[in-house]
Amino acid sequence: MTVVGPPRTSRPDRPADPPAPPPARLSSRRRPTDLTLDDYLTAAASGASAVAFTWMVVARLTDGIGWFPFVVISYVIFMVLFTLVTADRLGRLAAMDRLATVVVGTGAIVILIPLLWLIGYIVVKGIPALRATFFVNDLSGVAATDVATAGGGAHAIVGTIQQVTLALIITLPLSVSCAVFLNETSSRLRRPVRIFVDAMSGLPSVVAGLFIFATLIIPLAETSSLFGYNGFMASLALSMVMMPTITRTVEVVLRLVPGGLREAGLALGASRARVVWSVVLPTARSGVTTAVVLGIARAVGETAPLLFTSFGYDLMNANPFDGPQDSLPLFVYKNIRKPAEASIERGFAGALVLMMLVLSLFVIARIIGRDRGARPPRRLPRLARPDSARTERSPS
Amino acid sequence: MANATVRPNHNGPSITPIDLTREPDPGSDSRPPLVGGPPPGCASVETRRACAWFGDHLVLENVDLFMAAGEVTALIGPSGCGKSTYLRMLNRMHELIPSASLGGEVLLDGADIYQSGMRAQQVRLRMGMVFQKPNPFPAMSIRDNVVAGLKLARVKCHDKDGLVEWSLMRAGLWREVRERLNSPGGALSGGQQQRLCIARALAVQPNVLLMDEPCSALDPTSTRRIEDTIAELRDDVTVIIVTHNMQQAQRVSDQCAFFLAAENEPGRVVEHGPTAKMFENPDDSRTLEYVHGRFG
Repeated sequence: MTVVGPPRTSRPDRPADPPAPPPARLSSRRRPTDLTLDDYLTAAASGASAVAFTWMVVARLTDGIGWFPFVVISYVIFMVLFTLVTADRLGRLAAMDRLATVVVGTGAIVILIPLLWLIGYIVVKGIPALRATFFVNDLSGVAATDVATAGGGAHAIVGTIQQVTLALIITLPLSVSCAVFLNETSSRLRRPVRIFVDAMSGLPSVVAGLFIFATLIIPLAETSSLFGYNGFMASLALSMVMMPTITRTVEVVLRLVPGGLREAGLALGASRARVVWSVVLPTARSGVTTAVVLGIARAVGETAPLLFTSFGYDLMNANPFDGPQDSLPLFVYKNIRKPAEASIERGFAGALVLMMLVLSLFVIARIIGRDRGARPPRRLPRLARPDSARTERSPS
Repeated sequence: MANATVRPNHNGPSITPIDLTREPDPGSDSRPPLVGGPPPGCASVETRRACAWFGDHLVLENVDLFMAAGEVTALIGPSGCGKSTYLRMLNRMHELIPSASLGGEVLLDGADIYQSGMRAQQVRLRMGMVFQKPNPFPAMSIRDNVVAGLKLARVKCHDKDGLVEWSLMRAGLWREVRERLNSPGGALSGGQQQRLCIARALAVQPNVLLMDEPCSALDPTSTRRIEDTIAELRDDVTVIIVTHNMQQAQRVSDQCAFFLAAENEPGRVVEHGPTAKMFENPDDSRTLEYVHGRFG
């Protein structure tokens, strides 16, 4: 006989249950590390005092010092005040703790400001010229005197996607096998290979483009259009840029796979190649995805290797193996250098689209590389839901 | 209880539990047949003058032991006396360490596993191993973990669901996980993970099961479950277990071998024999002192 759960209905012939005992009074919950309202009030008051004090001193004693020194001086005075007041309230240990919190928080804000500024700047400058037509038109028939919303960057978007995809198709197998070689074998060649990979990651990207230009395009362009200026040549140059990034990142994540898993696989009678393929790589799956994302991020914004490989083109060319092709970085570069105001605005729209493209590529890569069901749902009791946490552990 | 008839359907809800307090004994007949797996039955293991080195450092000297088919042998001794190294020599895991080398012979059913023409993978397939730390594959579900050995060693089985159930039942885990075979193996508790590893090792139906301190990280309840599992496995597989727990050695093993390494000397087998004799009146005074906890 099994009792699945508490009965949902009560039988009428049974006397009513005795009233439930009143819930035990619990002492109030708190987390020792949380900041309290008093802390925020102290911080606000210290900040106000610091600004007022600085303003008073600066206004009375100087002719004005500019906003930046003002902020720095206020911040220093704020920290001194805040620490002193907290030390008075809660003691020296708590004061040091709050001071460290403030310093770390300020650091995060200081780093975030330029980033948000940059993104905001591109968005603000790019939005006015960005219309839905940007994603379907190329620059055919657009004169220098036309408004910024005329024409579009569809040819550049297609070029970027094709070139980066081709580069990824070339790079990923090579990089992953190189990383496996570096991490899963005991060859003597690992050291020199690692040095080469490191040296390659420091390679200026213009050199990668120059290399393809000098070794493939100059000698072979006359023999076949495959080796002329085209998207495929650009993707080769981009591969050289992506490969060291992906290789080193994959190597690091493979190193994080516990050795016990390899031993477990080998002890089951697997060959070493089989263990790498079926145990090590699936375990490192999300890390490999991160590596791919980093590689894409590195390649998608590169302009220099494209200058003399895909050359750039103002019209749609959807065949990466024949003829010059545009891409978003080249589109931005060419348009922003033009004297016409409308072209510059169009360039900013291209930059905005490039950022959106990178973001969507990241999202796609994350979805593909998600650990499927490998992460158990966390069942830690949360402070915000005391009732549900208690019922989960009710005696059964 | 007849074996094949009571096998519940593995799809949780439709089963009719007959007796929830004990697991039905699947019996050895009901094991799903494998294609390309190890030969059936258990095997004897013998070492002759087995030595092991790490670099130039001799850690194990001239170990002569015979472990009969179908018996449980416990290897006991203080830390650093070479028990684990010896165990890893038996299924050719020792050679995976770059600086490691070895000497002597290891015979599996009379055939030297280190002779040329013997594939290490085939040896490891026939001698399953359970490690000190539970190491289920985190990227796989419970079910995939159990049948991982098939995929890794290219062994085929036509009745995978039956094999999963059989292995988990043998490892004493079926009842706890049958409702969630598709949830990740890493979400289990430590003791359950270790039993999952035992199920994984059993799924390829090895002739010998090597266990390297399988209970050292577990609570007493899980330890008992694993000891029960070892007792039930006795008919199917030869078990060789390294343990630091004297009571455990006494409870589970038929034969016992005592390893000891004096300071700056390699490990040797001081004494071996039936467990009862080793614990009650061993020939060597050091054995008596060790099994009664007076040193080590």
